[in-house]
Amino acid sequence: MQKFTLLSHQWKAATRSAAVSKSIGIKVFMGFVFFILFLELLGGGFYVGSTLAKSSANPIADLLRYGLYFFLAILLFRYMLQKLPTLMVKPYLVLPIKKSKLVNFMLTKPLFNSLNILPISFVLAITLGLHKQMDTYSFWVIVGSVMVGDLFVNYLSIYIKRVQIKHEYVFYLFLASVGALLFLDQFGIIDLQAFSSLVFIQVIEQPLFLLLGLLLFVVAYYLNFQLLYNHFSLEDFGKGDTNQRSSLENLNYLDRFGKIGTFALLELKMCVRNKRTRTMLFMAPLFLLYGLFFYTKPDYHEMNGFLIFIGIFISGGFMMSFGLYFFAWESGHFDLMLTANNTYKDYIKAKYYLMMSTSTVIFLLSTFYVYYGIDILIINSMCFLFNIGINSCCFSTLQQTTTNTWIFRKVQHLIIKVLAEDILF
Amino acid sequence: MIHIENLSKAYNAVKVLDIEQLQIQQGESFGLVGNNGAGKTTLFRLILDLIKADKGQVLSKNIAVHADSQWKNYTGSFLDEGFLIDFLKPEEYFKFIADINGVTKEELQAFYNDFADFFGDEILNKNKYVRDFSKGNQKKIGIFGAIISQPEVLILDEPFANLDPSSQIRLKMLLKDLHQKKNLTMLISSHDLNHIAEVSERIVILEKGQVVKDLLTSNDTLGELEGYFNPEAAVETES
Repeated sequence: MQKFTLLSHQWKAATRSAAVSKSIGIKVFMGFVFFILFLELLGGGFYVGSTLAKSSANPIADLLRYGLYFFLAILLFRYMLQKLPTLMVKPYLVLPIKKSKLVNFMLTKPLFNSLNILPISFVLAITLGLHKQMDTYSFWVIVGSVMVGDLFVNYLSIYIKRVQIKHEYVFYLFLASVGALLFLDQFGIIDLQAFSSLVFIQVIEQPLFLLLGLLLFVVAYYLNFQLLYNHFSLEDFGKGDTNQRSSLENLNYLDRFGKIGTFALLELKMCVRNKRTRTMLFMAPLFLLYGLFFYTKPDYHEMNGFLIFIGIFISGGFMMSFGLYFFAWESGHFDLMLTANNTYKDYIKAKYYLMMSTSTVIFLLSTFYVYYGIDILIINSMCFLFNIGINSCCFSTLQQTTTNTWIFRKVQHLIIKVLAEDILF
Repeated sequence: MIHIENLSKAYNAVKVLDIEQLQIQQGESFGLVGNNGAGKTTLFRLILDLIKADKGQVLSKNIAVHADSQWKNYTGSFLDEGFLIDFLKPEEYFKFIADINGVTKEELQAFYNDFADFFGDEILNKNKYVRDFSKGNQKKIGIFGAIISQPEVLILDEPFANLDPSSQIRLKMLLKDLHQKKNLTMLISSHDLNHIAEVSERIVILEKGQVVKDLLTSNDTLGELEGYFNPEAAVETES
């Protein structure tokens, strides 16, 4: 009975959340995008399957070589996209509900995530493309391994994310180890493909090995359970330790720029002292490396549209990820800003200058891509100009921030006015 | 100083505020009482132009607050945590407010000295972010932030709530002091009838968004207020 009450609370939380009250148009659009992605995944899977069927002598063995990459991709994909399942536990903590029941309930939530259908449907599409080469037996084993492996990956990613709440370095450690693994594989120091086919051929020969995968899942579940069970007191849901680092304490240098300097300093402190913004800030230089992936391959040099895309991301990546939440970050002290001494213009300008200077620094660093051709430098410069002129305005006005739409409109109007009058011209 | 005309605000067709006429004079210390949902905070939010009125307007020094933001130059306010910047330390927060209001370092320091009492020793030099303070201490930080700019009008929403007894008494003294010395116009709401009767010269009772009583404070005010909010008890004491 209790379980159903909890479920109904979850259902209410989901249906009554602010995101649901988005306009019907946006909902239809999001649904459409998801559907298109889904279709593309199906099409892509089928394409992979049928090309393998045509070009390879032993398609199933070839498929198995990429098994580990597949799971690694799901892990990253889940890690980036999937939100940590949280039941707003605070109000339940004082009620007579068993702790283990609450924990188990929280841990069943990832089973009902809509992302779950994507990996399995991708694999089903591949097997459809390969249907002539595949017997029923290996089909079921493959489907079974994908399901079991995905379960494990799902709970693993949740576990990493949850540990990361307390120990932020885990995030960088995780990214670094995945990066290192791929790097070692790329340069042939280790051979992931051989390892992958070794593992999965074993599984095909002896399906009981799937139980081992299931065991991995149980271990991941147990780790999650332990972590949650032992950290179920209120303070673990709080803001973490109050042992403050005195970051940016003495940056009085900015004072000489008057009010804009004051606001810029505020903005910087916000970036450094909040977890999500801090991650964004540290990730900003990564956008710079974007070029390395693509410029090194001569094929891409012919595709101008693609180069523009990369150019925009290199100098505007931070601007986009950060500027999208331009005002959402501030919603906590928005009232203060609105009633404070007539300085809203400066406030917006400070934000703009901050985004622009970050972009400029990244752009300047990116000039070394001239090594790959003067064209790239020219395209990147154009993209940079586009970013600081147009993109910054667009992104900052996209995101609705407060529940008070009137204030939002007012602010939006002001941003456009300020940017248009004072900065662009 | 503040002039309210025909002001009304409705949420989902339910009127939460409907005031025909209300004048607050310069230097007046104005108290607002009323049960939950009476419209106190809504009124303050309208005066601060944080929400939009459906009808009518608020004039501050004869200028409509929604048309011109002149009033921001001389109005200090603290309603709730929305006025705090949670990732700053208190000192940084005060410095920020001082900077945007053109208050110099020396003036700020002098201010600290004046209010050392009010803070006790729990706020300054604690090396803690605002978000890590208790509700009561956050309130103190917010109230102090509202007066740094030396405003002519001060708007505080339930400043006594969450404060410990000593701080409540200190705050009362501080408000009275500010009012007398600086001729500050104060708008304060509270659920504590004792406190409000003590610091205000004039008290308005709101009910369902309407002004139901407008009293000048005298010795009987407290009794009158208690009588209003608890009619049976008042009858008992009379008989």
